[in-house]
Amino acid sequence: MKKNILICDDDPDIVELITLLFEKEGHNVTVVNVCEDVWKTFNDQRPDLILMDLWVPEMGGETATKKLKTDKETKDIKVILLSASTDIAEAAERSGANGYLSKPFNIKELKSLI
Amino acid sequence: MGIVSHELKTPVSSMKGYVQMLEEEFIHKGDSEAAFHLKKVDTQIDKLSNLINDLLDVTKIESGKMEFFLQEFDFDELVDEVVNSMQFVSSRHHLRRTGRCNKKVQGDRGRIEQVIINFISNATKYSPKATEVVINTSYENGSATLRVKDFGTGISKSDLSKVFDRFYRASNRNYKSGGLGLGLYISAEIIKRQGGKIWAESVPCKGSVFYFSLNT
Repeated sequence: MKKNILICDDDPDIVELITLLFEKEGHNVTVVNVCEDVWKTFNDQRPDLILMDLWVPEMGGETATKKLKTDKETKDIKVILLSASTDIAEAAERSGANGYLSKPFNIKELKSLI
Repeated sequence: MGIVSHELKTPVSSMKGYVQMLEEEFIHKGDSEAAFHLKKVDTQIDKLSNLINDLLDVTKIESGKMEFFLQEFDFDELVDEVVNSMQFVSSRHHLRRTGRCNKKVQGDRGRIEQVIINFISNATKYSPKATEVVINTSYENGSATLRVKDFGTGISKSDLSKVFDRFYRASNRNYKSGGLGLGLYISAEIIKRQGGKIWAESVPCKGSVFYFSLNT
């Protein structure tokens, strides 16, 4: 079933890779490069999954996820943190994210999120 | 430190993703030879990623910035998890799990998992002709102890006292087996900085036993 996926990451190479992977699977992918733009996309369509980089500008992925998870309108959206940082597990726990993927990730793990 | 980690790992992530995607395409098209070669590239990317992680861990240790996130966890359960997942990818060696500790320990679960993986990886790497590695847990003198025994090349007495040193590689250990000689150094720092003990025993040509213990 076609899903709406929102990628919030400022790294063009990673964004291109993830977009290609999910579009090949027939999903609809939207990309934003700063956290603040996540909320702007909700006017067009509500995502089924948000892939949130930990170090994305301006507020950062952890704060943005916390904000999404404490708002009753958005708390049910699945948010997965992505990062090469070694403290991603702690950041995921602190922010209330549904999970995390450490870079470099396995594409099977990425696809299994849907 | 985090920036360095991020900058080194990002291109590796991108490479890994594209290689895996191509591998899937070749499998789909029935070109198993091309898929096999790409799987080799993927394995090498994992090795590169592990080397980056090791170098970053050493930098953290040297600068006193290695952090530990302490929690109470079941020691046997963690060892069982690691053994099961490593057995899945180890085709030659049977990872024989023996003993029970039946205690909870206080420590950084992820970092202790890293040490267990390091012990078992070394045991399989340095016993290429053997078919078994024994992983035992026990409770002794107030400590939870892990023991990983291999039946491999062993380590000489002079090398044994230095195996936990940074960049040290035992003289009878083949460079072709890879690595920088950092794994045991990192493992020793992880265990010692959590108040534990780490040590090894070995008989050349017979095999080695690596141990660590943590307070319960």
